[in-house]
Amino acid sequence: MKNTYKPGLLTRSLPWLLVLALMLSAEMARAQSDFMNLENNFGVRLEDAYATAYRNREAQTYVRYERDAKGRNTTLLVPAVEIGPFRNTQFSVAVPVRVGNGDRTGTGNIEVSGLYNFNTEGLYLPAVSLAAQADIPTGLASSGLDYTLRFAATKTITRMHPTRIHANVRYTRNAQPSTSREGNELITERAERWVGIVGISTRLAPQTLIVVDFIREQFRLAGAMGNSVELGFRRQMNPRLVMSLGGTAGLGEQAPSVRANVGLQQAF
Amino acid sequence: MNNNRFNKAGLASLLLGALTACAPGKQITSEPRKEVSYIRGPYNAAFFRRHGPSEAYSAGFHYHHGKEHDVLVLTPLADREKVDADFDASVFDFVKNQKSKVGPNMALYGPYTARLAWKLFRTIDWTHQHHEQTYDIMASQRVAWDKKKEWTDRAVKYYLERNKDVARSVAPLDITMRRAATMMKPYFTYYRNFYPKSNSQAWVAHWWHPAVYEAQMISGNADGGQEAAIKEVNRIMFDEVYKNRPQRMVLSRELMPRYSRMSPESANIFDNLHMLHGLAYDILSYEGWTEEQQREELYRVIDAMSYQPGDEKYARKFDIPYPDVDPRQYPGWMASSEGSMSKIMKEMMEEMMPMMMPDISPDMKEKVMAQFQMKMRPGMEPGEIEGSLHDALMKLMPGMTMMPGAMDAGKTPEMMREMMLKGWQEKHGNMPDVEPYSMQKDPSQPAINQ
Repeated sequence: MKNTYKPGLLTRSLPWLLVLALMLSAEMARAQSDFMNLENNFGVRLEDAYATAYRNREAQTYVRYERDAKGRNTTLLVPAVEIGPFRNTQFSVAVPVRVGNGDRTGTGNIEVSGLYNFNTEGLYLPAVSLAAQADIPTGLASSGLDYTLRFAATKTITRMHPTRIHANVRYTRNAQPSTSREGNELITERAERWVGIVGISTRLAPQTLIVVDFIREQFRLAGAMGNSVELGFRRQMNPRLVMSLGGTAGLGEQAPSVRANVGLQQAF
Repeated sequence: MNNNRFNKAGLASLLLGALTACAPGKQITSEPRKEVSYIRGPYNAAFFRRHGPSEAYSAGFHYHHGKEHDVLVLTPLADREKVDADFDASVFDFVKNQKSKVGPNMALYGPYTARLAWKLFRTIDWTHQHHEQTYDIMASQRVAWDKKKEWTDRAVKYYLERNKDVARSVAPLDITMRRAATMMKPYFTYYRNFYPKSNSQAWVAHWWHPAVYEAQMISGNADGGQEAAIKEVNRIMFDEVYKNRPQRMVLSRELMPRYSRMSPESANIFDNLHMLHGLAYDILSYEGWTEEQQREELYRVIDAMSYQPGDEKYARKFDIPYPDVDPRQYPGWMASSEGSMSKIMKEMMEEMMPMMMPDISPDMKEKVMAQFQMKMRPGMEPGEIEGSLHDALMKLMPGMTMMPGAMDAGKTPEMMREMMLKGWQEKHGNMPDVEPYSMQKDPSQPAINQ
């Protein structure tokens, strides 16, 4: 479906204004987060193998600006709630909203996901987790129940410093791939696609983590795939609030040329 | 390379290679993570907001607690003098310069021990979380003074129920130390004797924490009261306590008698955690065992000192030697090596002696007790036999009878344990419960006693 929507300045700025408002209210925040835990799309897309704590609950949001390979701009705002209903288990519900002149497919979908962590890492064994996500097609140009399976592994590689490597593999199944015309070109969605991410994170300062990763992925549209690298930071702003920042540079012609990401996780 | 083909096999190989690069093929172990979040209340994070610099000092102490595990397990005992001096300087710098505004969990500075003995860090982090709760309750002006106990009891209940396998006992240290029966283990006193500076950092921290609780207890909820009292506690920490560090672990009953009377359960949990710190450091600095044996012993001690149903009936079984103590002062008794902790140790020693040394002569008993006293103090003194308390006693009395399990990792010397618990029952079983503390009246801060 060709997207002809042209958002105004206020609409384009709204997600960033929301994040700014949350940051300004951070001093009054109460609850708990952990800057060492990597969460998908908070700073970077790399995630670690650990679930949020049992009985924890967090309000989360991130905003991501993306300039794609064709020079189109999209801003994504994702409010979410994450809870730990059982030990080593987390559930989250998110509703992504996209604005801009880029690909807005899926805006307004409801994303429900669960993650189970099997173990904490030992001296030699990495921590591993499996996660599943269902995208309920309530949003723009969406049909069919898509799902994603995610595997994550985390292993500390240094002795007296918390430097950890992480590996993620993701498989997404598109229940009803669509075909559309863009100019003279027929565009078809993939029925299934894979993403692989490897990265490293370490404590940069007592309250700050740095993470770098490499992504190789198949994109939504058939025939498109590419690589990108990400750099992110996560900071414990107070005992209950984590803020994350990140940037992505695409490698090659098909990957998004640039992405920037700001996220907040506020326990309540 | 075809850009449109996703090389799944290649990716899988890459991931597997990265994950196994650091695995030398040894026997591997892993545990469930089982993290539990804190209980929500109107007071959450009140201490951080009201007493920010103190939160930063506490973060510095927790830096000590976390990192010390890795320092001890990963550096050779032979390098102890330099390791001890360097770590002491590092901790002081972290505390004094408020390097972190929020308290770290143990794994942040002890990543190796987190992988070696995760249950130890679960235990410590869970108990630190409980104490964050109780500091917050005391700091929060949203919790009326006469509701402080009610909220504290709620936090204790949550602490005991939600993480049962790692919750510390609400029974006093007099009982839990006897249950753990560690005194004749080959590691006991290693940390205090071989790493006296780092050990005294822990004892400064274990002075500061109860001093802050008690500063809250004498100050009440009103604006400015707690701020002024805790500021004074922090001042004497740097002006007096660091310059003349405590020579023993100060117990809650000594330095926070009002709080201990208000919530003996929380106060005992506090002491039991602090003793666990010392025992863990003893075990990790002992080089006679493998890491697997160290883990076995750590887990045995954690279990032995954990909460057991019925412990509530012992919660108020302790004395209050200084009921009117002012936490804004640092008198000689706080720095002394003699106090409630050394009294507990001496009682246990005397309970064990008839079993280990049935025919001991008065002269030898004097020598044994002299060594015992020196071993309880940090560092090495002239005439003190190097090593653990066990090493010193064996040198004095090579024929000393050792109980089954006394020397083994992960084993409890049951006869010794029973003998000591019987000893406590005979001495203290009938002691009256310590009096509750009235929270009906919000106190005004008294002037510092002259």
